[in-house]
Amino acid sequence: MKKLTIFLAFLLFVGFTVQAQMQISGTVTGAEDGLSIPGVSVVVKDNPTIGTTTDIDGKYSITVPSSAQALIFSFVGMKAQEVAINNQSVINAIMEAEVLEMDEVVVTALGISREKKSLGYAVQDVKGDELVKAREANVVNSLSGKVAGVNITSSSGGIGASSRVELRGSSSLTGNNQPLYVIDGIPIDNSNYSGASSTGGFDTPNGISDINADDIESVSVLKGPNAAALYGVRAANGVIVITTKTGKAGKNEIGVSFNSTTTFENPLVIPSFQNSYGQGPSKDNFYWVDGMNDDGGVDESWGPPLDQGLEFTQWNSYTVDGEPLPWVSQPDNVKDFYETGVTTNNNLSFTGGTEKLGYRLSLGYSNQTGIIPNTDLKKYNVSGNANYKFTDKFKAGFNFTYTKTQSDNLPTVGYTNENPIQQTIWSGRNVDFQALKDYKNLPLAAEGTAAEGTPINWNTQFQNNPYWVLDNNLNSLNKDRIIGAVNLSYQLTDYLSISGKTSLDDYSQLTTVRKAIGTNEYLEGFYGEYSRRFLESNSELLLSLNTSITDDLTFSFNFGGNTMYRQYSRLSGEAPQLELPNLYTLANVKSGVTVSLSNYSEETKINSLYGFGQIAFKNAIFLDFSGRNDWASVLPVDGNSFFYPSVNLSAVLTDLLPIKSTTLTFLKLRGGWSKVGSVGILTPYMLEQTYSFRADPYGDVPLMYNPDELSNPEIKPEVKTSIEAGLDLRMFDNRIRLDGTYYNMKSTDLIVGVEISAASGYIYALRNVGEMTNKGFEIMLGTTPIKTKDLTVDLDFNFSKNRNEVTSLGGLETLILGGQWNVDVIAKEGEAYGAIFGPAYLKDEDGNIVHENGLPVIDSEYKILGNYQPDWRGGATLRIAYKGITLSTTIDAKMGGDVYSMTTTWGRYSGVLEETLLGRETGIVGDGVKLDSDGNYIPNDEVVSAKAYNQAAFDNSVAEGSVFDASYVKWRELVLSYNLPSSWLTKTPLKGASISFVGRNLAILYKNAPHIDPETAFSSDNEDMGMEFGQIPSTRSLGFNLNINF
Amino acid sequence: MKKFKILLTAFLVGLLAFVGCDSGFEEINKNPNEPTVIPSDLLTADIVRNVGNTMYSTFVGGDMGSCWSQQWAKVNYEDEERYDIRETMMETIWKSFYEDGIADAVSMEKLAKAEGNDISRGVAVTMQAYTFSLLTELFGNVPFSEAIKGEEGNITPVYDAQEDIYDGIFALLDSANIYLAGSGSLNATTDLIYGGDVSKWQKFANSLKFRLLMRISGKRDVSAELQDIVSNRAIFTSSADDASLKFLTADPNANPIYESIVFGNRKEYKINSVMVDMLVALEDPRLPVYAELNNNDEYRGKPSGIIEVPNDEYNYDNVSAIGEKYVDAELPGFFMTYSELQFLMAEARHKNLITTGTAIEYYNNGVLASFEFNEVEDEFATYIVQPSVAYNTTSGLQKIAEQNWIAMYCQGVESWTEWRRTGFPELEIAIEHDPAVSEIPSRYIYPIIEKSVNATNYNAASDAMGGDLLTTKFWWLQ
Repeated sequence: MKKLTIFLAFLLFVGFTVQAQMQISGTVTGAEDGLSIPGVSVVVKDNPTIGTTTDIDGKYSITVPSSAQALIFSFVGMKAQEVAINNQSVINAIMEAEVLEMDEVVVTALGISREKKSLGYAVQDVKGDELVKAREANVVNSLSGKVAGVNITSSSGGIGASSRVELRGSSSLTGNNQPLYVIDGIPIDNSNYSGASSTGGFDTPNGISDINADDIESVSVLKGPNAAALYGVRAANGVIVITTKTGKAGKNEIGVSFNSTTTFENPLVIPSFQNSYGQGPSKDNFYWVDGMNDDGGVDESWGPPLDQGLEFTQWNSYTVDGEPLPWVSQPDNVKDFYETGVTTNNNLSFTGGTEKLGYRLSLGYSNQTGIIPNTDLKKYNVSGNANYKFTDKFKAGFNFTYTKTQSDNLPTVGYTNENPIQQTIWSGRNVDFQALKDYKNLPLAAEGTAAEGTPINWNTQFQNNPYWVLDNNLNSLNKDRIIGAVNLSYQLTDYLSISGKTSLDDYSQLTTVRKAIGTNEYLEGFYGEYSRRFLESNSELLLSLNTSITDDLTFSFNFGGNTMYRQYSRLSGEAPQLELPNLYTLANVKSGVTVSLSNYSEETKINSLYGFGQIAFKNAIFLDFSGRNDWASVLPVDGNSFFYPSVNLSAVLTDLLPIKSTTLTFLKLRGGWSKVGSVGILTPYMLEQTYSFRADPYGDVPLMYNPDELSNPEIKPEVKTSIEAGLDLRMFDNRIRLDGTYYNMKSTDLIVGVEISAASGYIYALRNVGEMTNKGFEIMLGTTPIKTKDLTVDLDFNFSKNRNEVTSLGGLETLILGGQWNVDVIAKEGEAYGAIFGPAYLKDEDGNIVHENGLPVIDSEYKILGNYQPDWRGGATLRIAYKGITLSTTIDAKMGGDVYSMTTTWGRYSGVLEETLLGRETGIVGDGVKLDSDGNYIPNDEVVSAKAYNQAAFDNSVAEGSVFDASYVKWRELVLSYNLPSSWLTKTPLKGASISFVGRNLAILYKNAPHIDPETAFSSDNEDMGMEFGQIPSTRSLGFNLNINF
Repeated sequence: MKKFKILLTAFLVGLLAFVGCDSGFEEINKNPNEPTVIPSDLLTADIVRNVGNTMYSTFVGGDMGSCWSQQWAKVNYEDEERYDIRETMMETIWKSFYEDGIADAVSMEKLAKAEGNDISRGVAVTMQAYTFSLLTELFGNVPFSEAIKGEEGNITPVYDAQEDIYDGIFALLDSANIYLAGSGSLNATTDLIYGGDVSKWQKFANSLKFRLLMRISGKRDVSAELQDIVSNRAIFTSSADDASLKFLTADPNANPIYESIVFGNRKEYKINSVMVDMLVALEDPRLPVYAELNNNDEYRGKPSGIIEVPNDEYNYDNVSAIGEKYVDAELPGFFMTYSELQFLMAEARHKNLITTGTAIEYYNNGVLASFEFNEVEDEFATYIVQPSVAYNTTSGLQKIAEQNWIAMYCQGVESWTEWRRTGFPELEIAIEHDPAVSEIPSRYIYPIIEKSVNATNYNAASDAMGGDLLTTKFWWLQ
């Protein structure tokens, strides 16, 4: 509280200097069309805190000190104009469009537009146009390769797959590591409540993918805590600020825009399978009885050679009265299993205004069908905004977005029979999956087999017919979401304004899971229904002050507060076994079995007070400072208040020193320090020990128990302290633009549920134990090698490197984040977060694999085998504009980092992968050593069968052989557009039209991990990174975009 | 200027009122889903269910109980039968008994104390004593005096000497005997053992003390305490007093043996040839109840520890399955039976540790109770007079122990514990046993996690016992 008092006193007693002044007015028009432009920023040169904006008619009026030399007019997307005052009282300005001008205005914290020049920290933005042609269902994926320091992992090519976004690495051990998303000043929830994990479940889209890309004007990425200190406790991982398109008051007209994209998706990578040997345990013979007994129950491909004229009784021999059928390869059986996905996006928007009103209304619909049969996702968007100017001083506005997301079936992922990809790996290479498709007309699996009562499959022991599963075992999603805000602002004086805003993010989500009776893992069927409700409201008041102290010294200051209230509730019901088939209700529970029901609700509040400001000297040295105090209800009452300060300093040397020339156009140095807190894994009610009910009662007896986590009434927030320094350099008249940033961030007091001796009465205790550092740099290099009247070529690069280290776990040896069977993904002192830890091969002193009886020996100690964090990321975008034709393409690289691919483990164990052909006939001599009779290591020379070798070297008991470098270079995006010449359009109602060929994820240009796209995860959660099995392939997407403006 | 200062002040005051710092936060962070205080006896069901389910899990009482006392044998996945154990199971047991069992019983005791409910407190204390006894008899030295003190800040409890643990458990049971005679009430619905019959809980506490005194009777003269129980305390007087968990008909609340073998289709659990041979030798009418006929219409057991089964000699078909009665969903999960108490009393009388009654009378009661449970009581009269069965002073101890072993069919943990104590029946080590384990195990090993989260105390306990092996002998086995 003491800090706050000083802060308030400072604000209250700061003196205002009044000088001799003069009045200037005028109109601002566009050079292209001569129309007036509203919203243009007009500031006094060298004193940008004295300023105003043009009204709906492009008119402005400003009172300037008599010492003022010139006015600067600036507007997003236009070239700033500097006009000398020379005692004129009327100054009209004509603005020219400047698409690539670097003196741009960016949206920063709390939605405040700032000249990029004056910022003391790194911020990078992407314009909305770049998001709507080559589209991604999840809009954040579009940032891949375009923004330095952003690490995006799209979990799979399945419909509805989530994406994980990390800015400058992981900074929390167990809590959220993803940034805060803020849309038009409204913090929005990015949760998806995905049930996906390494063992099954299905992934659902992140909250951010509810946003329609057509509504986005720009996306600004505020990477470090310096940039984000103003959002307090929720922004410790950075902030992605999205600004939506708005209508502008002043032009008495309506613009209509129609944007339509249709793309076709196909798998980018599928495993390389062998096509020489079929199903079975050995080469001699194959005999299929009922898919469970004899060779048909072996879901491996160590069987007889294919395409050699052999004939055996097979699963489809029922068509020929059980007679043998030809034993032939099916080289495209997996490829043909995938369908071509189709995505259509249509968006219609109306933008317009009257003298005092600006508005926009947008309607969007997208429909996706997946590459996995019978998977889909539909999204409906309605959004709108309006702003109204009651008087010159009083403005009001509102905006809203309604999104409905609906899917009848989302694909199951992970190691489970429900994931159809699993039976392409535990598989027979002779299996024609297409022949299983018409399952309604296939006989049922034999009595006594695991798949009894369901349509026949090539094996009936481990798997059901995959098409039957995809049609019957459905995962549905239904989500309705409204985001909206109302805002008011009042200009008290020339230098003082007050504004307020209240916003809402409210959604309900229903997911259901159906498992038909006869499903291998749910013989009696299953039905689950999960309903969630989320609501968050924020109300904010802000007072802004802009003034100049002397001619060279200006001062701006803002002071405000926010109150956040969040409510979340969940109701779930499960019928663990079903009475009647094909009826999915909770009432249809098998007799004697109880329906399992549970519900939960929580409330959170965060109150905040903040102040921030800037002192500018000669419009060239900028000192920014901010302070925020949060009170968070999830923390103990005695320790729930915490203060986040930040300070940034930047100097535009080209304005300060006489070094500006056409060679050195611009040079700025900047640096900053900040501290921001986070609540980590803390959720409400973790401070006090309570009693719980078990989800399943004991018949009609409720089961109450004392939970296994020891609460901590003295828990503190996690703290992230960061310094950053950077430079901004532009040369050769802006033809070369370089922006570099170095940062060093330390996270302390990380909250961990530490495992303790169960004899204490608890298994976990919540502690502030961990420390982690992230150090790295980001470079953005923009070049314009060619710029003529008709041709512009831009080539932009970005590069980022982050080094993460877990510096302390408070004595804890390792912290397990996630895992798959015997492989853990861990945090360990001295290692980077996300180490892959598992069983390795035993090695001699020289690193050779030790063999015994010709087979590799497994080391009894687990080893660190890799880490999912990349070494660096980079991207390059080439943009060529020639008359009406624009070509834009992006390449995205992630280098380093590892992935544990269980597709290789089981694909080699089961003999389906190409590399298992090695030594099938001759046997294998494993590369390594063995012990001789004297106990010395000599080269291994024992021959073993390919099957024995692969099954010993690739199995869940050893992981080393399946950990691969996850580096990749992807051809991420291609857009080739043709803008119809305006001369063609003059006699039509059209104002503009373009047609584009678009592509996303066109190719993987480089990778080291076999069989899979190394960009993979089961979900976007911490625990599901760095591992892979039965991946739904990422997709190459090609199609067309049509854009018409009326 | 003044106007602005006033305006600013008004704005700030308004803002502070609007944001309000943290007023009401204590209220908003009160958990609406879960209570901080509940009636103590609501915890009973989960405590007894967790302890019972762990003890009767086929991976605990089956693989490392019935298989080691050679009542059962397996025709597949026979690792544990050969003493090659899954170390992760140790952690499961440890967590279940301490965190799900004793910790909740301690919470129950605290709540009951605050309620002034002696009865509920007595049940809570009895369950603590019972679960601690399981822990020390499975592991040896374990945390006792400092156990369940996490909330007070002790997360690294010291392991106590087994002798001290027994004294502590006796003290708990003595206090339970008093509480259970006191005032208060017990929720009949959540009492999955006695349905709220408090007098039976008191009998259980005292009978349990009798059992535990017998366990240490080889180390210490416990005759006075035993006689005190027989003379002055309520103990089991019939099988109606048996302490057993009442299971339901369906997963997940059925007997774990049913859930594993029948519901989970783990048909590899079979009857051991030691049990079949003994029942055949004694012409015991319980054989058809204990075993099913094999595919050759015979009762055929399998000896312990044959590697690479199933094979032609021992497989799913030609070894007798466990009898239908013992894989029933509602087979009671016995904590302690009247039959067992009678055998223990017979032994105590035989050794003159007690002076009340006669050994033959207790012995015959024990056998009869078992016959009644197996519904073959009609054949009791002929059975009990056979020379190979009838009690006599020369071979009495062996007969008592062997009849107890037979009666404890499918009570894996207790049958193994009693075998460890008495050495009867005489068992051979598993045939192809893990070469690292040279005799039938005498304890479980500590969970590995203790080496990292409670290392100092783990090491001290391991040193004090002379190691942390399956064959390490704890105090009363020395």
